Amino acid sequence: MPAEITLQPNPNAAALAEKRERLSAVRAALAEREADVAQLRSQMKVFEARYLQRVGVLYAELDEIAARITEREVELYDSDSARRRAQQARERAQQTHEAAFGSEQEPVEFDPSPSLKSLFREVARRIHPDFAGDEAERQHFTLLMTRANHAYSCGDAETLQRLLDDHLEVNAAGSDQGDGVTLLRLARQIQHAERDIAALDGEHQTLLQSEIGQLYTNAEAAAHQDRDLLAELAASLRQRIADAQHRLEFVGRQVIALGR
Amino acid sequence: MEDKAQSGLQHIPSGGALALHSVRSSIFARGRRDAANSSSNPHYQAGVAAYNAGRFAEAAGSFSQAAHQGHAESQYILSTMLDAGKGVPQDDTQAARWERTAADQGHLYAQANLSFRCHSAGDLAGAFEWCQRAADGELAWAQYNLGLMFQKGEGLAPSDAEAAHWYRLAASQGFADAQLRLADLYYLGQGVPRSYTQAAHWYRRAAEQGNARAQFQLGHLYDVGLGIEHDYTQYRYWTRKAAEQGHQDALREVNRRDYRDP
Repeated sequence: MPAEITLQPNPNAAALAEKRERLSAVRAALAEREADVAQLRSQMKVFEARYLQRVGVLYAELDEIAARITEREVELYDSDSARRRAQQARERAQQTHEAAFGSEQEPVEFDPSPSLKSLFREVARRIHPDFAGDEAERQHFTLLMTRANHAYSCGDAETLQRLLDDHLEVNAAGSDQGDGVTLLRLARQIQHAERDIAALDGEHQTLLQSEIGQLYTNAEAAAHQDRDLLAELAASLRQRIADAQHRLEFVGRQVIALGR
Repeated sequence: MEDKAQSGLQHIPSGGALALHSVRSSIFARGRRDAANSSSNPHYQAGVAAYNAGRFAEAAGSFSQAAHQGHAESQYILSTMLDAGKGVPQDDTQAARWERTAADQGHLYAQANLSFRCHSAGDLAGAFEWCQRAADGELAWAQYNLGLMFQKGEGLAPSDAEAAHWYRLAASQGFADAQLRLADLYYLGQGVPRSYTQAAHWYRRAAEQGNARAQFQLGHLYDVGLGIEHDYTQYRYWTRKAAEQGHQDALREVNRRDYRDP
Protein backbone atom coordinates (compact mmCIF):
# COMPACT_ATOMS: atom_id res chain seq x y z
CA MET A 1 0.00 0.00 0.00
CA PRO A 2 1.62 3.10 -1.17
CA ALA A 3 2.12 5.56 1.50
CA GLU A 4 -0.38 8.28 1.17
CA ILE A 5 1.35 11.51 0.55
CA THR A 6 -0.61 14.29 2.02
CA LEU A 7 0.70 17.76 2.07
CA GLN A 8 0.20 18.70 5.66
CA PRO A 9 -0.03 22.41 5.70
CA ASN A 10 2.67 23.68 8.00
CA PRO A 11 0.74 25.33 10.84
CA ASN A 12 3.35 28.09 10.94
CA ALA A 13 3.22 28.82 7.23
CA ALA A 14 -0.12 30.63 7.44
CA ALA A 15 1.01 32.69 10.40
CA LEU A 16 4.27 33.51 8.65
CA ALA A 17 2.54 34.58 5.47
CA GLU A 18 0.15 36.70 7.49
CA LYS A 19 3.01 38.38 9.37
CA ARG A 20 4.97 39.00 6.19
CA GLU A 21 1.98 40.63 4.59
CA ARG A 22 1.41 42.74 7.64
CA LEU A 23 5.05 43.83 7.74
CA SER A 24 5.05 44.91 4.13
CA ALA A 25 1.82 46.86 4.64
CA VAL A 26 3.19 48.62 7.72
CA ARG A 27 6.44 49.42 5.96
CA ALA A 28 4.56 50.84 2.99
CA ALA A 29 2.57 53.05 5.35
CA LEU A 30 5.79 54.12 7.04
CA ALA A 31 7.38 55.09 3.72
CA GLU A 32 4.31 57.11 2.82
CA ARG A 33 4.32 58.86 6.19
CA GLU A 34 8.00 59.69 5.80
CA ALA A 35 7.29 61.23 2.42
CA ASP A 36 4.41 63.28 3.87
CA VAL A 37 6.45 64.66 6.73
CA ALA A 38 9.40 65.42 4.46
CA GLN A 39 7.10 67.29 2.10
CA LEU A 40 5.47 69.27 4.92
CA ARG A 41 8.89 70.16 6.24
CA SER A 42 10.11 71.47 2.93
CA GLN A 43 6.86 73.38 2.30
CA MET A 44 7.16 75.04 5.67
CA LYS A 45 10.81 75.80 5.08
CA VAL A 46 9.88 77.65 1.90
CA PHE A 47 7.02 79.41 3.68
CA GLU A 48 9.28 80.41 6.55
CA ALA A 49 11.78 81.99 4.17
CA ARG A 50 9.03 83.84 2.31
CA TYR A 51 7.50 85.08 5.57
CA LEU A 52 10.80 86.40 6.89
CA GLN A 53 11.55 88.08 3.59
CA ARG A 54 8.17 89.77 3.15
CA VAL A 55 6.94 90.30 6.73
CA GLY A 56 9.78 89.64 9.17
CA VAL A 57 11.92 92.47 7.81
CA LEU A 58 9.02 94.88 8.28
CA TYR A 59 8.68 93.89 11.94
CA ALA A 60 12.38 94.58 12.31
CA GLU A 61 11.93 98.02 10.77
CA LEU A 62 8.93 98.78 12.99
CA ASP A 63 10.75 97.76 16.17
CA GLU A 64 13.78 99.78 15.18
CA ILE A 65 11.66 102.93 14.86
CA ALA A 66 9.89 102.13 18.13
CA ALA A 67 13.27 101.84 19.86
CA ARG A 68 14.38 105.18 18.43
CA ILE A 69 11.20 106.83 19.66
CA THR A 70 11.76 105.65 23.23
CA GLU A 71 15.40 106.73 23.03
CA ARG A 72 14.40 110.21 21.99
CA GLU A 73 11.87 110.27 24.81
CA VAL A 74 14.76 109.71 27.20
CA GLU A 75 16.41 112.84 25.78
CA LEU A 76 13.13 114.62 26.29
CA TYR A 77 12.31 113.53 29.83
CA ASP A 78 15.16 111.86 31.58
CA SER A 79 13.82 109.38 34.14
CA ASP A 80 14.43 105.82 35.25
CA SER A 81 11.26 104.48 33.68
CA ALA A 82 11.96 106.26 30.42
CA ARG A 83 15.43 104.75 30.32
CA ARG A 84 14.06 101.31 31.19
CA ARG A 85 11.48 101.58 28.43
CA ALA A 86 14.14 102.61 25.93
CA GLN A 87 16.36 99.73 26.94
CA GLN A 88 13.54 97.21 26.59
CA ALA A 89 12.56 98.59 23.21
CA ARG A 90 16.16 98.42 22.04
CA GLU A 91 16.50 94.80 23.15
CA ARG A 92 13.30 93.89 21.40
CA ALA A 93 14.44 95.60 18.22
CA GLN A 94 17.67 93.63 18.32
CA GLN A 95 15.85 90.36 18.83
CA THR A 96 13.50 91.05 15.95
CA HIS A 97 16.40 92.05 13.74
CA GLU A 98 18.20 88.83 14.52
CA ALA A 99 15.07 86.79 13.90
CA ALA A 100 14.38 88.48 10.58
CA PHE A 101 17.89 88.77 9.20
CA GLY A 102 19.81 86.18 11.17
CA SER A 103 21.20 83.76 8.64
CA GLU A 104 20.31 80.12 8.74
CA GLN A 105 22.25 78.20 11.31
CA GLU A 106 25.83 78.53 10.24
CA PRO A 107 26.86 75.37 8.41
CA VAL A 108 28.96 73.67 11.03
CA GLU A 109 32.08 71.98 9.84
CA PHE A 110 31.42 68.25 9.82
CA ASP A 111 33.72 66.76 12.38
CA PRO A 112 32.21 63.65 13.92
CA SER A 113 33.59 62.39 17.18
CA PRO A 114 35.40 59.02 17.07
CA SER A 115 32.56 57.40 19.03
CA LEU A 116 29.96 58.68 16.54
CA LYS A 117 32.12 57.43 13.69
CA SER A 118 32.40 53.94 15.13
CA LEU A 119 28.69 53.88 15.98
CA PHE A 120 27.86 54.80 12.39
CA ARG A 121 30.21 52.09 11.14
CA GLU A 122 28.50 49.55 13.37
CA VAL A 123 25.10 50.56 11.99
CA ALA A 124 26.18 50.71 8.36
CA ARG A 125 27.84 47.31 8.58
CA ARG A 126 24.51 45.75 9.54
CA ILE A 127 21.99 47.59 7.40
CA HIS A 128 23.88 48.17 4.21
CA PRO A 129 21.51 47.40 1.30
CA ASP A 130 24.16 45.21 -0.36
CA PHE A 131 23.84 42.70 2.48
CA ALA A 132 20.07 42.38 2.18
CA GLY A 133 18.63 38.88 1.78
CA ASP A 134 15.86 39.71 -0.65
CA GLU A 135 14.38 42.61 -2.58
CA ALA A 136 11.95 43.70 0.17
CA GLU A 137 14.75 43.74 2.70
CA ARG A 138 17.00 45.62 0.29
CA GLN A 139 14.39 48.34 -0.07
CA HIS A 140 13.98 48.56 3.66
CA PHE A 141 17.72 48.70 4.23
CA THR A 142 18.02 51.51 1.69
CA LEU A 143 15.53 53.48 3.75
CA LEU A 144 17.34 52.74 6.99
CA MET A 145 20.66 53.65 5.38
CA THR A 146 19.28 57.03 4.33
CA ARG A 147 18.20 57.66 7.91
CA ALA A 148 21.56 56.56 9.23
CA ASN A 149 23.39 58.83 6.78
CA HIS A 150 21.26 61.77 7.78
CA ALA A 151 21.61 61.09 11.50
CA TYR A 152 25.36 60.79 11.08
CA SER A 153 25.63 64.08 9.21
CA CYS A 154 23.58 65.80 11.96
CA GLY A 155 25.65 64.19 14.70
CA ASP A 156 22.45 62.54 15.93
CA ALA A 157 23.87 59.65 17.98
CA GLU A 158 20.49 58.84 19.47
CA THR A 159 18.95 57.85 16.15
CA LEU A 160 22.01 55.85 15.17
CA GLN A 161 21.88 54.01 18.47
CA ARG A 162 18.19 53.25 17.96
CA LEU A 163 18.85 51.88 14.46
CA LEU A 164 21.52 49.66 15.90
CA ASP A 165 19.35 48.53 18.82
CA ASP A 166 16.49 47.73 16.46
CA HIS A 167 18.74 45.63 14.32
CA LEU A 168 20.23 43.79 17.27
CA GLU A 169 16.80 43.18 18.74
CA VAL A 170 15.44 41.78 15.48
CA ASN A 171 18.37 39.41 15.14
CA ALA A 172 18.78 38.59 18.80
CA ALA A 173 17.07 35.24 18.31
CA GLY A 174 19.79 34.10 15.94
CA SER A 175 20.03 34.01 12.22
CA ASP A 176 18.72 30.51 11.54
CA GLN A 177 15.73 30.18 9.30
CA GLY A 178 13.48 28.29 11.71
CA ASP A 179 9.85 29.32 11.61
CA GLY A 180 9.67 30.31 15.25
CA VAL A 181 12.66 32.57 14.94
CA THR A 182 11.36 34.12 11.75
CA LEU A 183 7.99 34.79 13.35
CA LEU A 184 9.62 36.52 16.27
CA ARG A 185 11.80 38.55 13.96
CA LEU A 186 8.80 39.63 11.87
CA ALA A 187 6.86 40.60 14.99
CA ARG A 188 9.69 42.84 16.13
CA GLN A 189 10.07 44.43 12.72
CA ILE A 190 6.36 45.21 12.63
CA GLN A 191 6.60 46.67 16.09
CA HIS A 192 9.52 48.93 15.08
CA ALA A 193 7.73 50.16 11.98
CA GLU A 194 4.60 50.95 13.99
CA ARG A 195 6.66 52.82 16.56
CA ASP A 196 8.30 54.86 13.78
CA ILE A 197 4.90 55.69 12.29
CA ALA A 198 3.71 56.94 15.66
CA ALA A 199 6.85 59.07 16.00
CA LEU A 200 6.27 60.56 12.54
CA ASP A 201 2.65 61.31 13.38
CA GLY A 202 3.80 63.10 16.49
CA GLU A 203 6.28 65.09 14.46
CA HIS A 204 3.60 66.00 11.92
CA GLN A 205 1.43 67.30 14.76
CA THR A 206 4.29 69.26 16.30
CA LEU A 207 5.10 70.85 12.96
CA LEU A 208 1.53 71.99 12.36
CA GLN A 209 1.04 73.18 15.92
CA SER A 210 4.17 75.31 15.97
CA GLU A 211 3.67 79.04 15.42
CA ILE A 212 5.01 78.89 11.86
CA GLY A 213 2.87 75.79 11.25
CA GLN A 214 -0.32 77.52 12.32
CA LEU A 215 0.55 80.60 10.33
CA TYR A 216 1.15 78.33 7.35
CA THR A 217 -2.25 76.71 7.86
CA ASN A 218 -3.91 80.12 8.07
CA ALA A 219 -2.15 81.29 4.92
CA GLU A 220 -3.29 78.16 3.08
CA ALA A 221 -6.88 78.71 4.24
CA ALA A 222 -6.73 82.35 3.11
CA ALA A 223 -5.32 81.31 -0.26
CA HIS A 224 -8.45 79.21 -0.77
CA GLN A 225 -10.45 82.44 -0.50
CA ASP A 226 -8.12 84.10 -3.01
CA ARG A 227 -6.47 86.10 -0.27
CA ASP A 228 -2.74 86.60 0.13
CA LEU A 229 -2.21 86.58 3.87
CA LEU A 230 1.42 87.65 3.72
CA ALA A 231 0.63 90.56 1.40
CA GLU A 232 -2.15 91.71 3.75
CA LEU A 233 0.19 91.49 6.71
CA ALA A 234 2.88 93.42 4.88
CA ALA A 235 0.43 96.16 3.89
CA SER A 236 -0.83 96.69 7.43
CA LEU A 237 2.74 96.68 8.72
CA ARG A 238 3.76 99.36 6.21
CA GLN A 239 0.91 101.46 7.56
CA ARG A 240 2.12 100.96 11.12
CA ILE A 241 5.66 101.82 10.08
CA ALA A 242 4.43 105.05 8.51
CA ASP A 243 2.55 105.90 11.75
CA ALA A 244 5.62 105.16 13.85
CA GLN A 245 7.80 107.25 11.54
CA HIS A 246 5.36 110.12 11.97
CA ARG A 247 5.52 109.75 15.75
CA LEU A 248 9.33 109.65 15.69
CA GLU A 249 9.41 112.90 13.75
CA PHE A 250 6.94 114.42 16.20
CA VAL A 251 9.10 113.49 19.21
CA GLY A 252 12.14 114.75 17.32
CA ARG A 253 10.48 118.13 16.84
CA GLN A 254 9.65 118.24 20.55
CA VAL A 255 13.29 117.59 21.41
CA ILE A 256 14.34 120.49 19.20
CA ALA A 257 11.58 122.75 20.49
CA LEU A 258 12.61 122.19 24.10
CA GLY A 259 16.25 122.67 23.09
CA ARG A 260 17.56 119.42 24.52
CA MET B 1 28.87 56.47 1.95
CA GLU B 2 29.03 59.58 4.08
CA ASP B 3 29.35 62.00 1.24
CA LYS B 4 26.58 60.45 -0.80
CA ALA B 5 24.01 63.07 -1.74
CA GLN B 6 20.77 62.86 0.19
CA SER B 7 18.05 61.52 -1.98
CA GLY B 8 14.71 59.85 -1.74
CA LEU B 9 12.92 59.53 1.53
CA GLN B 10 14.41 61.18 4.49
CA HIS B 11 13.39 60.78 8.02
CA ILE B 12 14.56 63.81 9.93
CA PRO B 13 13.82 63.15 13.56
CA SER B 14 14.92 66.28 15.37
CA GLY B 15 17.37 69.09 15.21
CA GLY B 16 16.30 69.78 11.64
CA ALA B 17 16.69 73.14 10.00
CA LEU B 18 13.26 74.48 10.92
CA ALA B 19 13.46 76.96 13.73
CA LEU B 20 10.46 75.82 15.71
CA HIS B 21 11.48 76.99 19.14
CA SER B 22 14.15 79.51 18.41
CA VAL B 23 14.23 83.29 18.57
CA ARG B 24 12.11 83.17 15.45
CA SER B 25 9.09 81.65 17.04
CA SER B 26 8.10 85.02 18.50
CA ILE B 27 8.28 86.75 15.11
CA PHE B 28 6.01 84.01 13.75
CA ALA B 29 3.62 84.35 16.66
CA ARG B 30 3.38 88.06 16.00
CA GLY B 31 2.57 87.52 12.35
CA ARG B 32 -0.07 84.98 13.20
CA ARG B 33 -1.68 87.33 15.72
CA ASP B 34 -1.61 90.29 13.37
CA ALA B 35 -2.93 88.22 10.48
CA ALA B 36 -5.80 86.93 12.59
CA ASN B 37 -6.67 90.52 13.43
CA SER B 38 -6.72 92.00 9.97
CA SER B 39 -9.83 94.01 9.25
CA SER B 40 -10.43 91.92 6.16
CA ASN B 41 -11.96 89.17 8.29
CA PRO B 42 -15.32 88.62 6.54
CA HIS B 43 -17.29 87.94 9.75
CA TYR B 44 -15.88 91.07 11.31
CA GLN B 45 -16.88 93.13 8.28
CA ALA B 46 -20.38 91.64 8.36
CA GLY B 47 -20.56 92.43 12.07
CA VAL B 48 -19.55 96.05 11.56
CA ALA B 49 -22.09 96.49 8.75
CA ALA B 50 -24.90 95.01 10.87
CA TYR B 51 -23.88 97.07 13.91
CA ASN B 52 -23.86 100.30 11.95
CA ALA B 53 -27.31 99.43 10.57
CA GLY B 54 -28.56 98.94 14.12
CA ARG B 55 -29.09 95.18 13.76
CA PHE B 56 -27.32 94.35 17.02
CA ALA B 57 -28.36 90.71 17.42
CA GLU B 58 -27.03 89.93 13.93
CA ALA B 59 -23.88 91.93 14.63
CA ALA B 60 -23.26 89.99 17.84
CA GLY B 61 -23.58 86.74 15.87
CA SER B 62 -21.01 87.84 13.30
CA PHE B 63 -18.60 89.19 15.89
CA SER B 64 -18.94 85.94 17.79
CA GLN B 65 -17.95 83.96 14.69
CA ALA B 66 -14.91 86.17 14.10
CA ALA B 67 -14.10 86.04 17.82
CA HIS B 68 -14.00 82.26 17.69
CA GLN B 69 -11.54 82.57 14.80
CA GLY B 70 -9.27 84.58 17.07
CA HIS B 71 -10.11 88.06 15.76
CA ALA B 72 -9.15 90.30 18.68
CA GLU B 73 -11.13 93.38 17.66
CA SER B 74 -14.28 91.24 17.36
CA GLN B 75 -13.58 89.66 20.73
CA TYR B 76 -13.31 93.11 22.24
CA ILE B 77 -16.51 94.40 20.63
CA LEU B 78 -18.34 91.22 21.62
CA SER B 79 -17.20 91.67 25.22
CA THR B 80 -18.56 95.22 25.31
CA MET B 81 -21.88 94.05 23.80
CA LEU B 82 -22.12 91.28 26.41
CA ASP B 83 -21.35 93.81 29.11
CA ALA B 84 -24.07 96.15 27.92
CA GLY B 85 -26.54 93.42 26.97
CA LYS B 86 -26.68 94.85 23.46
CA GLY B 87 -28.04 92.37 20.90
CA VAL B 88 -27.26 89.56 23.37
CA PRO B 89 -28.37 88.82 26.93
CA GLN B 90 -26.17 90.59 29.46
CA ASP B 91 -23.50 88.12 30.60
CA ASP B 92 -20.61 89.18 32.82
CA THR B 93 -18.81 85.85 32.69
CA GLN B 94 -18.76 85.69 28.90
CA ALA B 95 -17.88 89.37 28.66
CA ALA B 96 -14.91 88.81 30.96
CA ARG B 97 -13.88 85.75 28.99
CA TRP B 98 -13.76 87.51 25.61
CA GLU B 99 -12.19 90.58 27.11
CA ARG B 100 -9.44 88.40 28.53
CA THR B 101 -8.92 86.57 25.23
CA ALA B 102 -8.58 89.84 23.34
CA ALA B 103 -6.33 91.29 26.04
CA ASP B 104 -4.07 88.26 25.85
CA GLN B 105 -3.74 88.92 22.15
CA GLY B 106 -2.53 92.43 22.87
CA HIS B 107 -5.75 94.36 22.21
CA LEU B 108 -5.14 97.65 24.02
CA TYR B 109 -8.74 98.61 24.76
CA ALA B 110 -9.49 95.11 26.02
CA GLN B 111 -6.45 95.34 28.28
CA ALA B 112 -7.65 98.68 29.60
CA ASN B 113 -11.17 97.31 30.21
CA LEU B 114 -9.76 94.22 31.88
CA SER B 115 -7.63 96.43 34.10
CA PHE B 116 -10.80 98.31 35.06
CA ARG B 117 -12.63 95.02 35.71
CA CYS B 118 -9.80 93.83 37.98
CA HIS B 119 -9.82 97.16 39.78
CA SER B 120 -13.58 96.97 40.39
CA ALA B 121 -13.14 93.45 41.77
CA GLY B 122 -10.45 94.69 44.16
CA ASP B 123 -7.63 92.89 42.33
CA LEU B 124 -5.13 95.74 42.35
CA ALA B 125 -2.19 93.65 41.17
CA GLY B 126 -4.15 92.49 38.13
CA ALA B 127 -5.38 96.00 37.48
CA PHE B 128 -1.82 97.28 37.56
CA GLU B 129 -0.43 94.55 35.32
CA TRP B 130 -3.02 94.98 32.57
CA CYS B 131 -2.90 98.74 32.81
CA GLN B 132 0.86 98.63 32.35
CA ARG B 133 0.53 96.47 29.23
CA ALA B 134 -1.98 98.85 27.69
CA ALA B 135 0.21 101.81 28.71
CA ASP B 136 3.23 100.20 27.05
CA GLY B 137 1.09 99.99 23.94
CA GLU B 138 0.79 103.80 23.92
CA LEU B 139 -2.83 103.92 25.06
CA ALA B 140 -3.14 107.38 26.64
CA TRP B 141 -6.00 106.44 29.00
CA ALA B 142 -3.94 103.57 30.40
CA GLN B 143 -0.83 105.72 30.77
CA TYR B 144 -2.90 108.24 32.72
CA ASN B 145 -4.41 105.54 34.93
CA LEU B 146 -1.04 103.98 35.57
CA GLY B 147 0.10 107.41 36.70
CA LEU B 148 -2.88 107.53 39.06
CA MET B 149 -2.02 104.11 40.49
CA PHE B 150 1.56 105.21 41.13
CA GLN B 151 0.45 108.46 42.67
CA LYS B 152 -2.09 106.79 44.98
CA GLY B 153 0.14 103.76 45.58
CA GLU B 154 -2.59 101.32 44.62
CA GLY B 155 -1.16 97.81 44.95
CA LEU B 156 2.41 99.15 44.92
CA ALA B 157 4.66 101.63 46.63
CA PRO B 158 3.55 105.16 45.74
CA SER B 159 5.96 107.11 43.56
CA ASP B 160 5.32 110.61 42.28
CA ALA B 161 8.31 110.33 39.94
CA GLU B 162 6.81 107.26 38.24
CA ALA B 163 3.44 108.97 38.19
CA ALA B 164 5.00 111.98 36.47
CA HIS B 165 6.58 109.72 33.85
CA TRP B 166 3.28 108.13 32.88
CA TYR B 167 1.29 111.37 33.10
CA ARG B 168 3.77 112.92 30.74
CA LEU B 169 3.43 110.16 28.17
CA ALA B 170 -0.35 110.51 28.23
CA ALA B 171 -0.12 114.31 28.34
CA SER B 172 2.08 114.42 25.21
CA GLN B 173 -0.69 112.51 23.47
CA GLY B 174 -3.09 115.30 24.39
CA PHE B 175 -4.89 113.56 27.26
CA ALA B 176 -6.30 116.52 29.23
CA ASP B 177 -6.63 114.83 32.66
CA ALA B 178 -2.99 113.75 32.47
CA GLN B 179 -1.92 117.27 31.48
CA LEU B 180 -3.71 118.60 34.56
CA ARG B 181 -2.12 116.03 36.88
CA LEU B 182 1.34 116.64 35.43
CA ALA B 183 0.89 120.38 35.86
CA ASP B 184 -0.13 119.78 39.50
CA LEU B 185 3.06 117.80 40.12
CA TYR B 186 5.15 120.63 38.64
CA TYR B 187 3.20 123.20 40.63
CA LEU B 188 3.80 121.31 43.90
CA GLY B 189 7.26 120.02 42.98
CA GLN B 190 6.27 116.41 43.63
CA GLY B 191 8.18 113.74 41.71
CA VAL B 192 9.67 116.48 39.52
CA PRO B 193 11.65 119.61 40.34
CA ARG B 194 9.15 122.40 41.02
CA SER B 195 8.64 124.51 37.90
CA TYR B 196 5.86 127.08 37.56
CA THR B 197 6.78 127.50 33.90
CA GLN B 198 6.14 123.82 33.22
CA ALA B 199 3.02 123.94 35.38
CA ALA B 200 1.67 126.89 33.39
CA HIS B 201 2.52 125.12 30.12
CA TRP B 202 0.58 121.96 31.01
CA TYR B 203 -2.30 123.82 32.71
CA ARG B 204 -2.69 125.77 29.47
CA ARG B 205 -2.71 122.61 27.33
CA ALA B 206 -5.51 121.16 29.51
CA ALA B 207 -7.33 124.50 29.82
CA GLU B 208 -7.46 124.88 26.04
CA GLN B 209 -9.20 121.52 25.96
CA GLY B 210 -11.87 122.85 28.31
CA ASN B 211 -10.71 121.34 31.62
CA ALA B 212 -12.33 123.55 34.31
CA ARG B 213 -9.76 123.06 37.08
CA ALA B 214 -6.90 123.67 34.67
CA GLN B 215 -8.61 126.87 33.54
CA PHE B 216 -8.96 128.00 37.14
CA GLN B 217 -5.34 127.15 37.94
CA LEU B 218 -4.07 128.89 34.82
CA GLY B 219 -6.12 131.95 35.77
CA HIS B 220 -4.54 131.80 39.22
CA LEU B 221 -1.02 131.67 37.75
CA TYR B 222 -1.84 134.72 35.59
CA ASP B 223 -3.18 136.46 38.68
CA VAL B 224 -0.08 135.94 40.78
CA GLY B 225 2.39 135.95 37.86
CA LEU B 226 3.98 132.60 38.59
CA GLY B 227 5.70 130.93 35.63
CA ILE B 228 4.08 133.50 33.33
CA GLU B 229 3.81 137.30 33.26
CA HIS B 230 1.00 138.63 35.41
CA ASP B 231 -1.90 139.39 33.08
CA TYR B 232 -5.19 140.60 34.52
CA THR B 233 -7.19 140.13 31.32
CA GLN B 234 -6.01 136.56 30.97
CA TYR B 235 -6.73 135.94 34.64
CA ARG B 236 -10.33 137.17 34.21
CA TYR B 237 -10.77 135.25 30.98
CA TRP B 238 -9.69 131.84 32.33
CA THR B 239 -11.40 132.21 35.70
CA ARG B 240 -14.66 133.06 33.97
CA LYS B 241 -14.27 130.05 31.64
CA ALA B 242 -13.87 127.81 34.70
CA ALA B 243 -16.83 129.43 36.46
CA GLU B 244 -19.00 128.89 33.38
CA GLN B 245 -18.44 125.21 33.88
CA GLY B 246 -19.52 125.42 37.52
CA HIS B 247 -16.05 125.21 39.10
CA GLN B 248 -16.81 126.20 42.72
CA ASP B 249 -13.62 128.14 43.54
CA ALA B 250 -13.85 129.93 40.21
CA LEU B 251 -17.50 130.87 40.84
CA ARG B 252 -16.62 132.27 44.25
CA GLU B 253 -13.71 134.18 42.76
CA VAL B 254 -15.82 135.61 39.93
CA ASN B 255 -18.59 136.66 42.32
CA ARG B 256 -16.11 138.37 44.62
CA ARG B 257 -14.44 140.09 41.68
CA ASP B 258 -17.72 141.23 40.13
CA TYR B 259 -18.68 142.74 43.47
CA ARG B 260 -15.33 144.49 43.79
CA ASP B 261 -14.51 145.09 40.15
CA PRO B 262 -17.59 144.96 37.94
